[in-house]
Amino acid sequence: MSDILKLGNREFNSRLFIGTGKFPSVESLRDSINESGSEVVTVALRRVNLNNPDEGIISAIDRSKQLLLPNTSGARDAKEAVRLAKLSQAAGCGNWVKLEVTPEPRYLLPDPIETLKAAKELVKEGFVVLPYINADPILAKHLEEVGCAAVMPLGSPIGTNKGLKTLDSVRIIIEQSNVPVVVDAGLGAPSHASLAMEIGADAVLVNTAIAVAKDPAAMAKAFAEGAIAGRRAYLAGLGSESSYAVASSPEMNIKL
Amino acid sequence: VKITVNDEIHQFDTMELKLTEVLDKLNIPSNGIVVDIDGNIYNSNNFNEVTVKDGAKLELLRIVGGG
Repeated sequence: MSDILKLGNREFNSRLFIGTGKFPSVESLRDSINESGSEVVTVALRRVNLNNPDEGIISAIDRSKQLLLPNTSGARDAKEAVRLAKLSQAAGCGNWVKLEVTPEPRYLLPDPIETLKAAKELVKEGFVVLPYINADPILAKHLEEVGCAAVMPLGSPIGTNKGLKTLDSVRIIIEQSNVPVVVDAGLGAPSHASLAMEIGADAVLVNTAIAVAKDPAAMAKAFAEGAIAGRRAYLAGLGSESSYAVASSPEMNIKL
Repeated sequence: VKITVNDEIHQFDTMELKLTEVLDKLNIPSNGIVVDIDGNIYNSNNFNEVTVKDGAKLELLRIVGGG
């Protein structure tokens, strides 16, 4: 099945993006990326621990197969996000960025005003910008208009594994968007990824649910299969819902 | 020189030193590191050319796992 995802100036076969945080080991991360077939992996930028400088996470990523997508996690406003994006670029991550501005730690919800402000500036600076947003269709349109390469509405707050609680709003975003829609955050089970793809999302991003699984690599594969199943169902065209039963066996010639 | 690296104060017995030397002295491999010195950003391509002066504030960052 040829079904290419076009994003920015790149093309991808896989529609499962993977986050690289919280894995038990670098080996486990490498196995998970390989099992998932993912071609987009997110990373973060943090201060070097002077007592233990080498985390070695980059060795798990094969950049001939996977696009490195640095996030701006930790940024509380537009200024910090722009700075982190530039630092990531200088660290060798290229010009793609998952823009993330989360001013409060309890729910880590994205700040729409600062996100839009940072997006404008980063697009102007030549970045391929993928903003993490609440499932707000109007904001998604604004971000598309300022030149973002995609929009990434959340399913539920980061790391909660609650699934696609924003279903109806994500449907509206998908209906209206002219750029790819990547459902990000909160997807806790392959069925959640599948649901996002069934309603027409272009891709999903999963981190916590894979990283904290008993067997992360097996879970990565399960998510990849969930995303594929959902995508195939979307392309095949789902049947419509009905309030009443609609017999699937013939109703004629029932005479017994 | 007395410099601040990620909020820690470090003192070296020279008048000034190259950024490469700072990393060497702190046993930090330069690969994949990015350094912010008072608002200017440097990576391993130019660590050799950057002179760190007394009182400089350095922030050393690197890529880590994240979602």
